[in-house]
Amino acid sequence: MVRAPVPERDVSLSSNAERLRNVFRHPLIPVLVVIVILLLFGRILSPGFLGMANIGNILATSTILALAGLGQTFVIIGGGEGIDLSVGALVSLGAILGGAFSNGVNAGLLPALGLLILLGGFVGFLNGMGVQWIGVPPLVMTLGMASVVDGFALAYTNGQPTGGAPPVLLSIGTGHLFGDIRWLIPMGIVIAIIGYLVLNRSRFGHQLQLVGNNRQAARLSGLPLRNIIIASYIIAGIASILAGVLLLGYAGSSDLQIGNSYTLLSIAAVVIGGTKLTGGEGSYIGTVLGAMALIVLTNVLVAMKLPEGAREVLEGLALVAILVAYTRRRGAHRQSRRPRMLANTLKGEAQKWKSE
Amino acid sequence: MLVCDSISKRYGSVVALRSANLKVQPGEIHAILGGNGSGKSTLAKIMAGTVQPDGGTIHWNGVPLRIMNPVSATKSGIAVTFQELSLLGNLTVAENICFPAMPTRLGRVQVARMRERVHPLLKDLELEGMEDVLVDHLPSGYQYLVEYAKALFRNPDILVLDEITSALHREQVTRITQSIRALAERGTAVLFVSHRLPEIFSLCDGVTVFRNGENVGTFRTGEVSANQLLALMTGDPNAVDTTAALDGEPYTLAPRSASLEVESLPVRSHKISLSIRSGEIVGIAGIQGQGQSELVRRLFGMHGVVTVTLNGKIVRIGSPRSAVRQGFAFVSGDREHEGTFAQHSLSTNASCVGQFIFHRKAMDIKAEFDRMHVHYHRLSQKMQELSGGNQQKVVLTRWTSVHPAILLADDPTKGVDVAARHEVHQMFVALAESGTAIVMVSSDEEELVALASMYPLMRVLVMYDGTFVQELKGAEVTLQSLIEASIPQEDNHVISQAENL
Amino acid sequence: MLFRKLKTYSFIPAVILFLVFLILNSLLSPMFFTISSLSGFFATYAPLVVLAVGETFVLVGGGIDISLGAIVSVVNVLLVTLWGLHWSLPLAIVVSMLAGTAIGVVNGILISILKVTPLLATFATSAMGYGAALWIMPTPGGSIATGFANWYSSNYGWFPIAAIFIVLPYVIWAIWRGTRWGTYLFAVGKNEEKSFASGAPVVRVKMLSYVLAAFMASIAGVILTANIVSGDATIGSPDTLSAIAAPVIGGVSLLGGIGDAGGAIFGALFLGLVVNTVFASQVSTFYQSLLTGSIILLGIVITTLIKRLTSMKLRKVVG
Repeated sequence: MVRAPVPERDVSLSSNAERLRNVFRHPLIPVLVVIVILLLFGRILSPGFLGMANIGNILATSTILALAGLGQTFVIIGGGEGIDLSVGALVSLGAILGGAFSNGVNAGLLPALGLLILLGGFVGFLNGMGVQWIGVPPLVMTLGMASVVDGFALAYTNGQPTGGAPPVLLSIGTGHLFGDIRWLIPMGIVIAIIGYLVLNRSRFGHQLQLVGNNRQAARLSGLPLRNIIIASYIIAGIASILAGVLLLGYAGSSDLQIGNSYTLLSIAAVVIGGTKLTGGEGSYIGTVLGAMALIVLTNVLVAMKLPEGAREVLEGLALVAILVAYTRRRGAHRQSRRPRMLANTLKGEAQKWKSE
Repeated sequence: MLVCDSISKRYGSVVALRSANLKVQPGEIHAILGGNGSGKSTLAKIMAGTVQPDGGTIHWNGVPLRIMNPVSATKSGIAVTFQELSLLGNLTVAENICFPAMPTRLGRVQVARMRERVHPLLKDLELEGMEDVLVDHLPSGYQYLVEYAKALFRNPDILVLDEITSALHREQVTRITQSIRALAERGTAVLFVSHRLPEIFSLCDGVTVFRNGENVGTFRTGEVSANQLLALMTGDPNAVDTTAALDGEPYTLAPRSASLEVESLPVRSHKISLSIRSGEIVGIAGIQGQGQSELVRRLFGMHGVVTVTLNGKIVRIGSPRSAVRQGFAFVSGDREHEGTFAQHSLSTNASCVGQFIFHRKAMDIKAEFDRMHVHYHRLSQKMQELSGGNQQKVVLTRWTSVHPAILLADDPTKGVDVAARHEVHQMFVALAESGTAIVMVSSDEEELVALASMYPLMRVLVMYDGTFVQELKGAEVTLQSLIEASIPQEDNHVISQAENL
Repeated sequence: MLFRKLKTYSFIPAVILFLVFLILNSLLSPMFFTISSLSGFFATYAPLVVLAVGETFVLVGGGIDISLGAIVSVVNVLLVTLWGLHWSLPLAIVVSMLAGTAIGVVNGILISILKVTPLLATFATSAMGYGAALWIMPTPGGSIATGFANWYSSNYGWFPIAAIFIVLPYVIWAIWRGTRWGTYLFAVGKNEEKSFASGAPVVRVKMLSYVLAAFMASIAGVILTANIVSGDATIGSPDTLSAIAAPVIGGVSLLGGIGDAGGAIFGALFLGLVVNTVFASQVSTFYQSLLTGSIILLGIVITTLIKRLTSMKLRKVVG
C-alpha cells in the first residue's frame, strides 16, 4: 500500500542564528581568518606591514602563485587522486624559456608566449595521457614528468639560462600601474575572474566538478571523463608555464631552480583555499586567497628578520598549525552534516518498511 | 544470559537506537528483525565495539561488559560478522581468520600453525584447502563463510551475525545454519540479525523486533506468526505478508518492430541473447549475483565493446559515453557510487547527461520534478540533502530529458521507500508508454510482481549462472513462480568454480 | 594460477628493467663489473635503496612520506656539525639518527593521531626539516671521520661494504613482515576501517610506519655522509622523489596494501643503473638528466602497463 509522501525535513535557513552559522560554514571563511591573523601578526612585528607598499607587494607576488595554483586547482578538483607535481618544473621552464625565446626583447615576447603555451599544453597533455590512458597514478606520473622537464631545461640552456625578461615583461612584473598599484595586481584580478568563470560558469568546469565528485556516476552519465581529465592537466601545464613567465618578469632573470618551490606551494594554496584533496569540491577564489595567505606568511617571517633556515622551520610549523586546525574543523563539519543524510535515509527506510 | 539494557545511540540529531533492551539465554539463537534503519545494525556495531553507545549497559551472566573498541569486544567474548565484511582482501583466508592474533614464535608469525588452527573450522564449512587463498580471489559467497569462520575462531560466548546469509547460496546457508545450531548447543548465545522471515522461523528460538531504534516485542518463534512480526516491524496492524494480487489483464504485445537485439552477449561464462521491443519492460530476476548486473552493465558498454542491433541498425558500444550517444540510459541502485553527485545541486544532478549538459532551464527542471513528485526546497539545494527515493527520482529526470530509446536499470529502487518506489515504477511505465524499452534488474521479486501488475507489456526473465532459465509473462509473474524459477535444483556449479581457483 | 603467482611477485617488471639496464650498462662500460666500479656503484646508491625501503613501509601502510629527503639533509648536516664539534663518531651518529627519527615521530603524530593528510603533513615537516638543516649549516662544508668514510667505500675481500646497506634494509623488512605488525601494516594499508573492526592497532601501525621510514632515512643520511664526506643542507632534496619512484617501479601500490621491499630495492638499483648507463653513454652532461628523467618516466609507464595487463589476465582466470 502506498503512503502519502512525507515532505523533506526543512533544511532551509530557519532563523537568523542559523543563517549566521551558515555564513561561518562558508568554505572561504578559514582562509580569510588565516590571512587576517597573519596580517595582524605582521602589523605587530613591523608597523609598515599594512602600508600600501607592502600590501601591494604581497598582492603582486600572490598573483604568480595564484596562476601556478590555477592548474593545480583544476587537477585536484578533477579527483581520482589528481595532483600535479610538475607545476614547479614548468614554472622554472616558463621563466627560463621565456627569457631564451624572447631573447630579452619586446618583439620576441608574443611568439615566445605562443611557443610556451604550446609547450606547456603538450606537457600537460602527456601528463593527462599517462594518468588517464595508461593509468599511472597522477602523483608518480607528474613526478616523473617534473624530472623530464627539469632535464629539458638543463639540456636547452646548457646549464646557463640566457636572455632575460623583455622590458615589457619586466614592467609588468615590477612596474606600477599608478600609485602603489602594481601591474601584477589587476592581472591577478583578471586571472582570478577567468579561473572562476571557467571553473564555475563553463560547461567544462561543471563537468570537471562532477567528475571529481563522483567518477563512476559521471562516466555512467556519459560525460567525456577521459577528455575532461586530460584537459585539466593541459590547463595545469599552460597555467604553470605562464606563471613562470610572470615570475621571470618579477625576478628579471632566471635560474634553473627558480620555480621549483611552486609545486608544493601551489598544493598548499589549493588546500588552504578550502579545496578538498579528494576532489570534487573547491573553488579557484579559495586558491587565490590561499596563495595570498602563503605569501603573507612568508612576508611575516621575513619581517621577523630571522635567518633563512629558521624562517623555513617557522613556515613549516605554521603550515602544520593551519593543517591541524583545518583537519579539526573539517572533522567537526562532517559530523554536523552526516546526521542529516542519515536522517533522510532512516526516514526512507522506515517508510519502506511501514508500507510493506 | 546476555542482557542489553536501555542502549541508546544518536548521530547528531538522529536517534539510531533509543533505549533498546534485549535478553538472550546462553545456547539460544535469537533473531533480531527490523527494517533498514531500525537500529539493528547499530546494535551489532555497538556489540562489535566499532560504535560507542551514548548510554545503556550490556551484561553477560551478570557481569557488566565494557566494550570500548573491537579488541575489548573480543576480550569480552563477543564476535561479530559484518554485512559489509571485515575481511582484508590482500591477506589469506588463514590470516584473516586469525587476525589480529596470529600465532607467533619469537615474534614471527607461524604460518603452519595458523593453517593447522583454522583447518577444522574450514573443514566444517567445506572450505578445505583454501587456507592460503587471498580473500580478494574468493567469490563473494565464500567470503561470507570466511567472515563467519573468523568470528567462530574467536570462540565467542556471544556471536552476532549481521545479515550473514544475504549473499549466500542455498547450500551455503544450510552449511552455516548447521554450524550455528552446533554452536548454540555448546552454549553460545547467537544474535541473528536478519530480515528474512523464513530463516528466522526455521533457525531461531526467539525473535526480537526492532522499530525506530526500539525493541517493540520479543517472542518465542513458535508463538508468533509472520504477519504479527511484520505488523510489529512496520507499526501497522494491518500489514500482511502479501503476494501482490494481479489484476488479471491479458498479456498482449503490440506488433512492433524489435527495437533492441542482442546476440551472444558474454555474461559470465555463457552467451546471452535478448530481444526487446520498444515500449516493453523486461524485468531480470534471479537470486543475487547470477550475472544480472553484468548483463545490463555490458549492454551499457561498461565491460568493453559490445555490438547490438538497435532499430535494425548494427551499433557498436565501447563505453558508457557511446551508449548514451546511441540513446541508452542507465540507472543504478548504488546511488552513492554510481548515481548522484552528492555535493552538487539538484539542477546540476538533473541536467548532466552527455553533451546535453546544463542546457536545461530551471523552469523545465521544476516542471519535471513536480511531475516526478520530487520533494525538495530549492534547485540549488545539495543532492545529499535528499532521501534515497528522491535522489533516485532526480537521477531519473536526468535521463527523461533525453528521451532514451533503451533504459537499463540495475536494481533502481534498492533502499528506496515504498512511496517513492511506486513513483519510480510509474515513471518507468510512463517512459515505456512513450516508447522506451526498459530492461530492469531487480533483486526484489515483489517489485517485479507489482510492476507487472501495473504494466501489461512486462515480462520477466529469470537468470541463473549467466543464462536465462525461465521467461514469465503477465499473470505468470507471481512471487512464487519467480522464487521457484530463481533456484534450480542442481547447484553444484559454485563448487566447481571454486576449484578453478 | 601462474598469473596469480606473477601478481604476488609484483616486482617482476622492476627486475626486468633492472636486468635490461644491467646489460646495457655492462655493454657501454665494460669496466662496470670490476670490484672497484661495483663498490662505487653500491656506495653511491645504497642510500637510495635504504630510502626506498623506508618509503615502502609508508606506502604499503596506505600513506606517503615526502619528508624523507629532508630527514637525510638533517642527519647529514647534524652528523657533520657534531663531528666538527669534536663529538665521538658513534655518539654523533646516534644523536643525528635520533633527530632524523624524531621527524618521523612528528609525521606519525600528525597523520595517525591528528589525521592530517599524509602528503601535506609530510610536506610541512619537510619544510621544517630543510629549514632546520639550513639553520644548522647555512653553507655546505664540514667533513666526517676519514676512517668511517674509507670503511664505507672499501671492500672486505671482494665484498663491497656498501653492499651491506643493500641487503640490510631487506633483512629489516623481511623480519618485520614476518611479525604480526607486518600483517597489520598490509591490513591497514588495504582498509583502515576493516582493520580497526578486526582489532588491529591502527593508530600505532600507521605511526610506526612513519617512524620506521624516518629511521631508514636516518640510516640513509649517515651512509650518504660517509659517501660524500661533507655536509649540505639541500643534499636530500632530489632523494624525496626517487624514494617514491623506486618503490612504485618496484610494484608497490600507492593505494596501499600491496608491495614488497624487494621490488623497491630493484627499483632503486634500476634508477641508479639508469644514471650510470646514461653517464657511460657519453652523452653531453647537459643532456644526461633529460635522458635519465625520460627513461625513468618510461620505466614507470611500462611497469604500469605490465601491471595492468597481468591483472586483466588474472581477472579472467578467476572469474
